[in-house]
Amino acid sequence: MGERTIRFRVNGRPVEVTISDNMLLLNVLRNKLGLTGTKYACGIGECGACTVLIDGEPALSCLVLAADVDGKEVTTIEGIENGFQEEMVRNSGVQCGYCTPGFVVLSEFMPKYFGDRDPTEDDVRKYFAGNVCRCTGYLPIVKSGLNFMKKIRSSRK
Amino acid sequence: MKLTNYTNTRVLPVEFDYYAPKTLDEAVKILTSVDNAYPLAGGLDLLVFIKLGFLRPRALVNVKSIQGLRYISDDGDSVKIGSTTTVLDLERSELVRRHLPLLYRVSRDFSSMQVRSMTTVGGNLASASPASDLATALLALDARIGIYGPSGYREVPIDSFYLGPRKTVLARGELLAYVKVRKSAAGEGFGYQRIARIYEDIAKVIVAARVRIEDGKFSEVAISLGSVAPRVIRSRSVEQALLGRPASQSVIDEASRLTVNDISPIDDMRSTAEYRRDVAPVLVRRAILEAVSEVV
Repeated sequence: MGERTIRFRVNGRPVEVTISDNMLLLNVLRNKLGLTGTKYACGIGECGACTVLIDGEPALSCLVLAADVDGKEVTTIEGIENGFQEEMVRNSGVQCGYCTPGFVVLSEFMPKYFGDRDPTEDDVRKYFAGNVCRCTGYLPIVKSGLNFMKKIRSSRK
Repeated sequence: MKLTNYTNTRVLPVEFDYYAPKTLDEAVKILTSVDNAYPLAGGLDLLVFIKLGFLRPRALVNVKSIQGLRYISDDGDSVKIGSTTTVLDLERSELVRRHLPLLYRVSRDFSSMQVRSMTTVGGNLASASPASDLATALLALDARIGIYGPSGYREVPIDSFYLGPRKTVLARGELLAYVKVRKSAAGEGFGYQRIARIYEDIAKVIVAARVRIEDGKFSEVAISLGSVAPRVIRSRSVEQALLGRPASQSVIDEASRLTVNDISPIDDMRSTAEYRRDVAPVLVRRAILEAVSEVV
């Protein structure tokens, strides 16, 4: 197993990293690029703490080979500024904060996923089904999701 | 499979070479010539197995880098789906929503957003889990599996594709290239029932049903089940008990009870054989009723 250089973009900026073939995107982001906002928790794709966007689509970075993002566009929590974050602060949706990056990154995909549809509370809960939170009991996070989508829709009018 | 690495899932504890072929032929060449080489699609099964110590490949061949495999196209009386199409692609496809309503329903309720976005149709089908929602639904639709290998293309009906738990007819060097599914026709209705511990979990029992009603009678029936046998199966006993009979509550109730003749569930980490034997006929009955109610 040799080394290779991969070139990709993170939050809009081009990066170049030397990796070995069995490295995971999560560890390259955290250890090689210093972007520690994306978290490791379960490592097997069940908790959502490692959620990033790859070419705009949700992905679990603990199950993506770093080599697999060569030439692609990766978005992490460090590159997101959206209304969902504001709502999370307003609604006390952050306690220990460990699950939060995963939720926020996934929220970025909500407008694209729901389109013109008006999501119900059930829709938002199902949307975040892959993100586990141990602290909040999910209520303030779901409320933030609903409010975020309401704001998106009213700004579209 | 014995769990040998339970504590560290942060890294892949195996050294392997990575390949990113651009064409099917390139991929096939690598898979036939390199020892212990596995195709890598979404990685949700494969990389987890490597992390947990179940697999120690010498090489991984990324099939997502192959050009021209991620598509959903109108194929006349069928819809053709390329193997690196994701389940999220299926959910967001107008073609699927209009012509493959059962597949749309499966994709909309599939696991979590992240898993749905990463799971490829080919990867899910080829990894041959007996609990695959996709495989269960496609079996009820009599889908055809397109395989590409050293001798080119071949097509097999999905019922012949599966041999047992995590075993398919794919030979060394062969890749699942596409799936062909017949478009839904007038007079057809579909049902999809599953039961799991929580919404996005892998199911304890899965049922997919396709019926065709003509003159108030079942002219076509397909009932498939997942998670209750070594592979996804069709319940021929139920199908035969419905064909030609009126689509009435009592006929459906009676036929559903025959489900137990066709399943061979086991105790596993998700459920017990006893529970599955109790619940499968109930879900079959509900799926048939759901399908019948859809027929206008």
